[in-house]
Amino acid sequence: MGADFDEPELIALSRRGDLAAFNLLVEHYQRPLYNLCLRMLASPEAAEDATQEAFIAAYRAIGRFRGGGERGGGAAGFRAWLFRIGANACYDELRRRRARPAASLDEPRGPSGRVTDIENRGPALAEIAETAELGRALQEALRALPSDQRLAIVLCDVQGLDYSEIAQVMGVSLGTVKSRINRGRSRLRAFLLAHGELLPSRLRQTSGDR
Amino acid sequence: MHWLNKHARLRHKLSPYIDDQLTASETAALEAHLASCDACRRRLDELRATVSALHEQPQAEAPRSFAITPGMLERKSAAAARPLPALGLGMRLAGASVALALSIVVVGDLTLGDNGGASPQAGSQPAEESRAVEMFSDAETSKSSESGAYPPPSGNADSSTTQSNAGAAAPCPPAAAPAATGGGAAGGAGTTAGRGVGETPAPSATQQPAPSSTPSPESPNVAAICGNASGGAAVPIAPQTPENAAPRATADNDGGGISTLRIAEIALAGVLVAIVAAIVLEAAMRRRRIA
Repeated sequence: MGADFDEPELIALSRRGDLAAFNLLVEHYQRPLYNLCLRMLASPEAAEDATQEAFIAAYRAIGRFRGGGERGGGAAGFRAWLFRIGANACYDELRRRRARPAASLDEPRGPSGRVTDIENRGPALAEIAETAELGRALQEALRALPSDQRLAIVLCDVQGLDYSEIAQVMGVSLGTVKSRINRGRSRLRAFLLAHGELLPSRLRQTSGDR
Repeated sequence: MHWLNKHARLRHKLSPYIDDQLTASETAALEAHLASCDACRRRLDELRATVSALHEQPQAEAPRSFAITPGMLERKSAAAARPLPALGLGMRLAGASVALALSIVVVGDLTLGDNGGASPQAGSQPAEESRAVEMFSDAETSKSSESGAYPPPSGNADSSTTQSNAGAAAPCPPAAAPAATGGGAAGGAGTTAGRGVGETPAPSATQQPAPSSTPSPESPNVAAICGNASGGAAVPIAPQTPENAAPRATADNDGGGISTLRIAEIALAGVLVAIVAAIVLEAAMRRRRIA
């Protein structure tokens, strides 16, 4: 967000085919977009590919981007539009990758953690518990979420978007956003509780149902 | 009971509560409940801890610059274009097969079951053909498969083709039915890959000369049907061509090898159905991306 960063102007130039202008936008957004893909795909290589793919797709499609002219709305509009393209790239990758639906947190899980077996790589839950690494536990927990909930959570709690911008990214209503975030958080909470990860021990006494 | 309902209902508001997404009255109701409910309060704490853990996750650095180079655009466009030729080839093959199968099916029908009272309209045929060709090129550019007069592809339409061909009572329905099927096929694929649709007619055009050199009538028939198949509004043509073609077919054919033809016809209808199903399936799979 440097003072020199004039997003509407850069967008306007990009629409006229100015690749250098578009690359300034790329530079500005590559980190958040890469992180979005990284959280969605849990693989640095796949995230890198998806990010690059998304920027190229965005450059090709920018003529169709209808953003606001003014700074505030235009900026939010562009980010949501770009994230939407990035999310699509991630969904494409997930679809290519997935042989079966993501395991649900409702499935039985023990120390060996069936939930982690979604992809046959990555550490087992027991290992996570041993290393007691909050970040990895969170990544595992996120991976266990259905991708729609994961996207909503990543946008909201990792990227810090508000509900209406998330609705723009996902192309759904505010109510759907609210419900996906709610369900995603409930599952994350259950996952982290179940694996004794993260939450202060005073919170770990189970809260009854679910 | 009442309390339980309220309890469950308010529990769903914990997450939006964290994000200040509740109205003032919702917030007040929830806070009143929290004051008296340890379980919900604990749950709120847990959710908050989960959210803050997510917030505190460090963002990774971008592993490299994602700036786009012109070469990347070239390379990526080649890569992005690769799937489409695959479909284009599939469509081309399918189009050729459909055209071939249709022409044989139509010949079979005309040979077998023509007792119909359609009067010969030999003079109108060339005009009919040129009209069909016009439609053909119109359909190519329009690509609006949804606006086709025929219903979207379905198994029923396909099987009715088989039945009416096997029955072969009147010349009209069999010819019209394949047209509907073909329209369905191109319609299904057309919605996903515009390029594929554009290419479809080409093979049928190459297919055309072959049948037209032996007996005469299929040429306009195939053209009309394919014009139809590539999504145009060829409604008026389809019903007319059979009347047009039928008398000539009977004139040219001596009616030999009927049972063989009948079997071949049924088999070809089956092949046709399979091809159409394959195209529709492929199209449906390609469409599965969030838009």
